[in-house]
Amino acid sequence: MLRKILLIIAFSLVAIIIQILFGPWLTIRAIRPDFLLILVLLVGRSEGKVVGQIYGFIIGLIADAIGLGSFLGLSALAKTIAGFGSGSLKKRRSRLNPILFYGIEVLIILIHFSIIYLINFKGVEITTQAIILQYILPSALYTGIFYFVIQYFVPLSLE
Amino acid sequence: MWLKIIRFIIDQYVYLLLIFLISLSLFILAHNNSPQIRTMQGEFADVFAFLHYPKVWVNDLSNLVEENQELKEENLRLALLNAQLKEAYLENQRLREMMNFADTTRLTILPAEVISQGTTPLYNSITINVGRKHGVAPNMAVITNDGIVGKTVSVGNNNTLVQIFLDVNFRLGVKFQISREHGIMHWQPNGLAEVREIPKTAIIYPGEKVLTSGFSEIYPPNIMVGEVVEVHQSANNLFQIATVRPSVNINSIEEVFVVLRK
Repeated sequence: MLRKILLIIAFSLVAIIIQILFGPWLTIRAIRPDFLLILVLLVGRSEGKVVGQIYGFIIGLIADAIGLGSFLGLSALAKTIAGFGSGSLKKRRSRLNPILFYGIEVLIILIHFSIIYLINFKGVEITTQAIILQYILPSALYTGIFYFVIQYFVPLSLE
Repeated sequence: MWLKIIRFIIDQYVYLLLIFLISLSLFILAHNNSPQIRTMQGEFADVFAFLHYPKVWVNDLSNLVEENQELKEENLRLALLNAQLKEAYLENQRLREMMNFADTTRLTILPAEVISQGTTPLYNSITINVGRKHGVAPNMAVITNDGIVGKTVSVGNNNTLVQIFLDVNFRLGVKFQISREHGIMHWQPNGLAEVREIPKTAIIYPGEKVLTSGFSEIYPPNIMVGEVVEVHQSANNLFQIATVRPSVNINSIEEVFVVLRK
């Protein structure tokens, strides 16, 4: 148990440092991959709903506080829901149809970015369609690509 | 009755926890602008400042960093002086008889290093490595030699979070260097900015420089903001809208200057 907690803390530190170090380099037209979301998804599906949502909340709050991504509490909100959603997939990887399993994960990523961008752009003169096409979908795609690559290396040690 | 409630809590604790965490997030979100939350954020940034160290180490690998910083500081002073001279020239043309024109760009500035550009996809701020200890307070202008970057928001002892102009909620009082029109600049999600409600009679030139107006208590006057890309009519055809490209490339800034005193 303690080993697992230490492992998650270590992964979190690495993910935050990667996000800080490489995030700006990987930015394409204001879109960058969210490595913390990737970790939340991995922890959630490995440890379940309770750990997933608590972890999502804590890491989201830390991300908001140290980087002021946008509003304090916004990442915490989005990542709590992502952690919960991902936690629902615990031990279902082998039982579910792979298309359905990964489809749910894509949906979680989309919901996460929808929460972030729709709240962040509230009151700004930009259409919902533009937010979806210019921000939500590209961010989800960019993060999704990294997620599906990283998950082949990381989750086995967590699950 | 109590047993039923306890059983319900035990049975549904996963969902109750989810509701609690979502409510807590929404509560924090709703109180984002409260001074307590801002102070807490500044302190929090101090505690987790160590997470930015690897980036600082990478940045400091070069032995020329210090010398570079001094040169950039000198460059900023010269850029400000240059902007001041251009302003003086234009002002002299308009007000030839006026004498003893006051120097308004003697700023007290503090150099700082950018240690983070945000950790989430939507970054509306940067973290810099100076704080209360160095004399920084909330609502101080942050600039580079290219122009305006933003303003300080949450100040910790050694670190400060800076709201950058890419934040869609950022507003800036500006003036056009040639036409002398004033306006409020709104930043757009596409990285450009707009100055709206410019009278139809005003003649704004594409390529015209846009400077801070000096009416703000935060931003000093005559700091470069950007240049006009295009001018078009508003939807109701009553005003003009100028689209402005910012002079600072926020993705590439490594050092900034906090204006301690105008």
